[in-house]
Parts: sequence; structure tokens; C-alpha cells
Amino acid sequence: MADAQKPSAAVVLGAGPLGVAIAGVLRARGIPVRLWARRKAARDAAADVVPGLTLCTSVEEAVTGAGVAPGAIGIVVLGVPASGLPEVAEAYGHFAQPDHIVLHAVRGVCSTSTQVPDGNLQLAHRVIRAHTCARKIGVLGGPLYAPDLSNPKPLAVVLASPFNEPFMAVAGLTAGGSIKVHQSYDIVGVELAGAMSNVSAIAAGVAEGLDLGDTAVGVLMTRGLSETAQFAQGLGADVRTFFGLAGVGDLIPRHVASTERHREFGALLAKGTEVAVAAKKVGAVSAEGIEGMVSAREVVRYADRVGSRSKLVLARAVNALCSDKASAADILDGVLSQHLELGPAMGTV
Amino acid sequence: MRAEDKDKILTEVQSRVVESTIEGAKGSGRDVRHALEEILADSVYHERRRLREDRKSPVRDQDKLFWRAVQKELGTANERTLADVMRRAVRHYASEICGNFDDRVYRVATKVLPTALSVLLNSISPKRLVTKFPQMPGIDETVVLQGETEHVRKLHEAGTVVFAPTHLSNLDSIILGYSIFRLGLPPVIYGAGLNLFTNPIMGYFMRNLGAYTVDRRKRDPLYKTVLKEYATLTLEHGYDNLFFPGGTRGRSGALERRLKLGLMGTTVTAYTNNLRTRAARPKLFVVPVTLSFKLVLEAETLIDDFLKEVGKGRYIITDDEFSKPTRVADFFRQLIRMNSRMYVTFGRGHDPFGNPVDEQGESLDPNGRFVDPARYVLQGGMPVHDTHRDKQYTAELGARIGEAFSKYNVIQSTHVLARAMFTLLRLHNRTDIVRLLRVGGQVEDMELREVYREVDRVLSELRGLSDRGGIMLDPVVARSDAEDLVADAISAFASYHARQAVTRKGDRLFASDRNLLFYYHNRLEGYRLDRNAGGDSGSGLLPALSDDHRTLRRSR
Repeated sequence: MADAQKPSAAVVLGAGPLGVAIAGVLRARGIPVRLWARRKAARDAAADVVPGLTLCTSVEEAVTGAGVAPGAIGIVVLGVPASGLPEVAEAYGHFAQPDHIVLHAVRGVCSTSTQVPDGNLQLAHRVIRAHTCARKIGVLGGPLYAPDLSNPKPLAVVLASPFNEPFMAVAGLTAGGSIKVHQSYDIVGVELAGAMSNVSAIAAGVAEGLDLGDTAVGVLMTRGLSETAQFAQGLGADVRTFFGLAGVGDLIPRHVASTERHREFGALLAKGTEVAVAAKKVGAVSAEGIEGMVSAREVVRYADRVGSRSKLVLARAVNALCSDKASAADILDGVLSQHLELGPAMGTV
Repeated sequence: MRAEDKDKILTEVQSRVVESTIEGAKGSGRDVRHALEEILADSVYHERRRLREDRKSPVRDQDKLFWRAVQKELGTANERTLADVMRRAVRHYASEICGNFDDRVYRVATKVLPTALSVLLNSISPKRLVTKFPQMPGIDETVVLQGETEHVRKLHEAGTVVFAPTHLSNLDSIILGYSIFRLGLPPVIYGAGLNLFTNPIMGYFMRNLGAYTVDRRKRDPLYKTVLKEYATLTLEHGYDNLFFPGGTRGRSGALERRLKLGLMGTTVTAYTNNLRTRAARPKLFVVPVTLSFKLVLEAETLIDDFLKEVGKGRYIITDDEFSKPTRVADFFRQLIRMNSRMYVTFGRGHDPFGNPVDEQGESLDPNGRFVDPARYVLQGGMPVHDTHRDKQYTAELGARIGEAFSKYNVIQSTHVLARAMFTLLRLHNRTDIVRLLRVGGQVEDMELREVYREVDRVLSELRGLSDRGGIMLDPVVARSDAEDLVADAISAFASYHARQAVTRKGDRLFASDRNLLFYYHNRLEGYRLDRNAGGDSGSGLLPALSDDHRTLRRSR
């Protein structure tokens, strides 16, 4: 069985730190990996880190060139952030096959460019699904710190998918190594937990920027976790996901790349930096590249449209702050002064 | 079904069920004899329990004898004998399920069907009706076929079709049988509750239109396995099927949103089997169908059952309006007299994995590119079954069917008036919905003008939604003003139901039957129509039904 589960080829689309790190893991297991990235510099940088990659200049070349036989296991990793996902998923959709295993580690909700009144929340797996015939879509969640993937340090990730195949393929690859993969069927929960941890990180950053101390950060984190859990439950997620590695487990480590970036972004906002400037300073091309900001906005919009039991106090505060509707101090005050009602999902304090 | 196919299918059901049991036991390292014994013991337990209660069954004595004989074998028989006993038990169930299909009756039935149905639907005495209402439309005008009819006809050429309709009334299968006939397609095979055969006229039609029996009193897991295997095999033999994905008739009047996918899952199984046997026509398509009536024959019984024990809807109703031929006749008479239409709307076909298909039956991805569906079930180059995987595929298919239901839901005047009235009742009384339904509120009537205003509001929301392709509207709803629509709906409510849902006294409208009102109101549940009821600041009303539409929301 072990061999039947082993992927015959892998394709990595996008050369973000995580995509490159996963390519490294795959290469280390002797799997041929084809990598595509829009910019040549990014491709070359990836090749420097991971030896033995086949670099491709088009998505078509990367996917169809992999030559996965029908029914063999082919892994496609969409190694891009939320802002880049729709475009890459669309490009991949032309060459996708029903038996592909598609993985992503997007930690944000995609932006809805058009305001469809009946539109759904654009969770990453839905975006992929909307552009491809693929079904076996999985998300990698939890405190993923890309540099650790190539270190011998113990590392844990959650792989969530309604299907077993993505987990089996990845578990087979990591067996015996220092990476422990946990299986979950709750793809909605894990995706939202990842997206909203970035929202909490912005709030935490603001609190730090205002020098409010650790208690305030603790309150904000708790609030973020509980309101997300409640909100996610309305979308069919399992509340228990938020007690696990993808939820609580993701909030504790502070040096996960995306968390660090969002905290920094929050701290800059607290000091009165404009949103666009703050975004540039933390390395995003534009404000839309800040996943936590976009996620807060989309979740709030969705809740207003459809209704949610969760009041989304924190998400609303972050959203107001990022759209320059109020000062950081006022907004955080508003959140901190509220009673911490955790609601039926999590019990009350 | 052709006689030779029937025998083949019965034999195959036997061998498949028994073999998969033996293989399953071997695969999990269990003792085969033990596994067989356990299943049979389970059957004996469930059947004896059923027989203790089910005293009306005409085959009670035979069943008792049969299971007693099975019980005797347990404990002592060896593996081979037990496998034989199991084969017999499967045969016992399977022959009851497929019933006494008679090839000749079947052919005759399909020939006389249109005339006979026309007579039936024109309320049994056409002569009297014609003299009374010379302008009366025939059945052809009463049942309106719409949607992707041409597409469905072509799909039938390309593979095996499974119709997946909404389910409100026991008349559904008959109306559908007739509609499929009018499309020029051969009759479909479908499961119908044993109790439906009690109405002798309906029973005759159903049996000969391809109905097989489903006895919902039988709780034995083996019986359910046999049922599923039977359905799978008819699909593999190329017989078009009819599955009601909602299971039983919807009690609340709402569209089914959470579907029971057990039977629907046989499409993946049958497709995989077809690939394995390299069948000539391996493809299967699922076609969502919605039925819309201005009035529902069994509305009173159904909503009472729903409210009696909220969240259940699990009781088997044996003595409702459907079992009384005169009531059925009266129903049709009223519908036809009102010049009312029954809409049968066919949606686009989907493959078992939830992809839409084109007219040739080719699967398409969300952007219209061709997909090779076989690759969904291949593993190491071979088509294989995988229970967990296939369940996910079926869930996806179910989601697509649910979306189609919502989109092809045809709204009639009764639904709109009921929606407006019930929403106003909720706004005026501001009480728990359970309480409102059981005890009533302080306000039971309202000014006609107020109702017109709310109807206008609902209409403008509905027309917008319909322009975006999110719902379908009967001409009265699409074009009338509030005044005409309300008049139309009131006269419809007055025509058939024993209790009138709405009555008019002067310039006031009375909610004379809250339950019925609630029932018809539910047809528009799930479209978020009452967000802005009673003003732009938001109504604050929560949806009346909870997510799975088989339960009421308890809070206000």
C-alpha cells in the first residue's frame, strides 16, 4: 500500500516561503517537483534553496508536463497568499484533473471583487473549487513556520479535507520524519481559524503598539478565537477545531511568519501610520495583500448580508480601523470594555 | 422492467450482498461464519420486533415462518449453510421489493397511461366535468413541463438518468410519471412506501409505472442494503430511476435543503461498476426536478405532523388525504377549476460527482471545460469503490441538487400571500414562533392595505431574484399587482382545504389557520426575504425554520 499512496509527481505553483519549503520536503522524499512562479527571480531563488527542482515558465508546462497518469497520485500545491489565489487557481483550472490532490496554506479569506448579493464567503477551498474540477482539496493549518520545515525541529501541521486522500498522501511523505501531520475533516474550520488568527494578530499588534500590556493581548486573542468559533459554526465548522492545533495552537507561537507580519502591521496602525503605508512597510505590495485585513472585511460583510449569531466584535473593530473609520485607541477601548460573552459555542466566562 | 432483467437483477443482488459481506469480514480479519451469523441474528431480531407490531401486513404469517426458519439455523450451522441462509434472506427481501412486475401489464400500462391519467386527473368523471365546465383545460394544460426538457431527453440517449425531484405530496410520483411520459421517455423505476399502495387506483398505477415497494417499518440493516443494491443494479442495467432526495414528503412545506443522500450515492457505485465491467453506456446523470402546486393535497396533515413533534417528521402517515380517492378527485377538480397550473421544472443534469453535463452527457468543470469523470474513481489506474470518498462526492452532488431546487422553485400566489401574512403576524406579535403557532398571538387580523404593502415588498424582492435567475414565478406572481394576487390566493385557499388559511372580512384579512399559512409561507423560506420586512431598519426576524428545515427555530 505504501507505494500506491506515494505521489508520483508534484507541482508547486507560486514561490512563497511556504511553497518553497513544501517543495523542499517533497524533493527530500525523492519526488520530482515542478515549480512555477511568475517572476524569474523568484524561481531562481527557489532553485537555490531546493536543489533538483524543475523550473517552469508557465502553469501549463508545470501541470501537464508532470505527466501524472490517470489514477496515479499527483500533488498540486498552490503556494500563494489569499490575494494571489484566485488568479493562480484560475490558471491551474485549465489543466486540473479530477484525481489531483490540491493543497494550499492560505491564511485568509479571498476578496469578493463584485458585490453579489447572494454571494458566499470566499474561503480558499471554495475559490479553488470554483475554478477547477478538483475535489480532493486540502488546507495546511496550524502554526506553520516555513523555515522550520527544513529544520530538524519537531513540527506539527493540521491537514484538513473532507477527503482522506490528501492526508494519506502527505502523511506517507512525512512518516518517520520530524513533521507530524494531524488529520481533520473540517476544512471550513481550519481555513477560518487560519484567516482569523491573522485578524487577532493585527489587534494584538495594535495593543502592543499602544503599549496596553499582555492582559489586553490575552483578552483580544480570546475574543478573536471565540467569536470566530461561533461564526464558523454557523458555516458548518466544528467548534472543536478551535481548541486544536489550528485554533489555540496557532495563537500561541508568535514567530510564525504571517503572525509576525500582522502584528507589525497592527503596531504601525496604532502609531498612526496610514494603512497603505503600513502595508508596504511590512512587505505587502498593497493593502489587499494584508490577509488579516481583507479577512476581517469579508467576514463582516458576509455576516451583515446573511446574519450571524456571532457579533464579531473584534473583526468589526479591525475592519473599522483598517478602513480609517476610527482611531486605534478608541476601537480597542470599545472591544476591551465589552463583556466577554463567549456564547453557546464555547460556554461563558 | 424486462422479465429477463428482473431475474438477473434478483440473482445479482443475492450474490453481491452475500459476497461483499464475506469479503468485508475477510478484509477486516474477522471470522466469516461469525460475521454472517451476526447479520442474520440482527435481521431476525428486527423482523420479529416489526412483526409483533405490524399486525396488518398481509404476509405476516409467511414472514413469521420464514424468520423462524432462519433463526433455527443460527448457532449451529456452518459457514456454507449460513451463506445459503443469507442468500435466501436477501432473496426474500428482494422479491418483495421488486414485487410482481408483469411484463404484459407493464406494456399495457404504459400505453393506456396518458388516457387513464387524464381521466384520473380530470377527477374521474370527465363527462360530468366537461358538461359543468366546458372550457376546462385538459391535463396537458394543467401540468406544465418546463426547464431543460430537451436537454433531459438527449441525456437519456447518452446514459442512465436519475430524476431527483422535490417531494411535497404523494401525487408527485404520479405527476412525474406522467411528465416523463410526455417527454417521450420510458417509465422510471422508483421506490414508494408500502402504504401508498393502499389507494387501489393509485396503487395500480404506481406498480405498473415502475414503482417498487419500500417498507419503512423494516429497520433491518440488511433490508436497507438489499434496497440499495437493488437500486444500484437497476441503474447498471440502464433503467432510469426516480429518487426523492428529501426522503419522505417535506412536512414543513419548505424546499429540501439537507438531502438524504443514501440512495443518491448509488449513482457513484453504479458508475464505478459500469467502468469496471466496461459497460457500453456507463454514464449516469442526475436531473433535479421541482414540482410546484398552488395547493398541496396533504398540506393539513403534513403541517400538523410537523408541528406535533417538531423536528421529527418521521412518522409514517398511513391515513392521509392520499388514501381517500374522493379527496384526491376533489383536489384535482378544484385545481382544474381554478385554472391552476402544476409546474414540473427540469434542471440541468449532473454527473455523480456534482459536475454539470452537456447534452451529450460530457461532464463540465465550473468554467465549461470537459472533465473525464472516470478519473474521480481511479486508483492506480483502476476504478475502485471507496465508501468515504464516494460519500464526499455524493455530498457535493447533493449540494448542487439543493441549489437547483432553490433556483427552479416556482412561486405561486398562495406562497406569496402566506409569506406576507405570516411575516406580519410575527412582526405584530413578536413572540416565540412555536408559541405563535400553538397558542396564537394577540393580533390575528390586519388591514388589507398593510397586507398589500407587504405583498408588494415581497413581490419586488422576488421579481429581482427571478431576474437574477434565483427563483421562478408563476405568471400571476410575475405580473399581477398586490390586489389581484391577494384575491387570487384567497380564492385558492377557499377552494379546497377544509380549513381556510386566510379569510377576508370587509377591509381586513384574518389569519384563520396559522398552521396552513405557515406551511405555504415555508415554501419561500431560505431566500432571506424578510430581512427588511416592516421597515428598512431590518425586521430582526430570524428564519422560521432552522438549518435543516425539518425543525423549527425555537427562539423568536
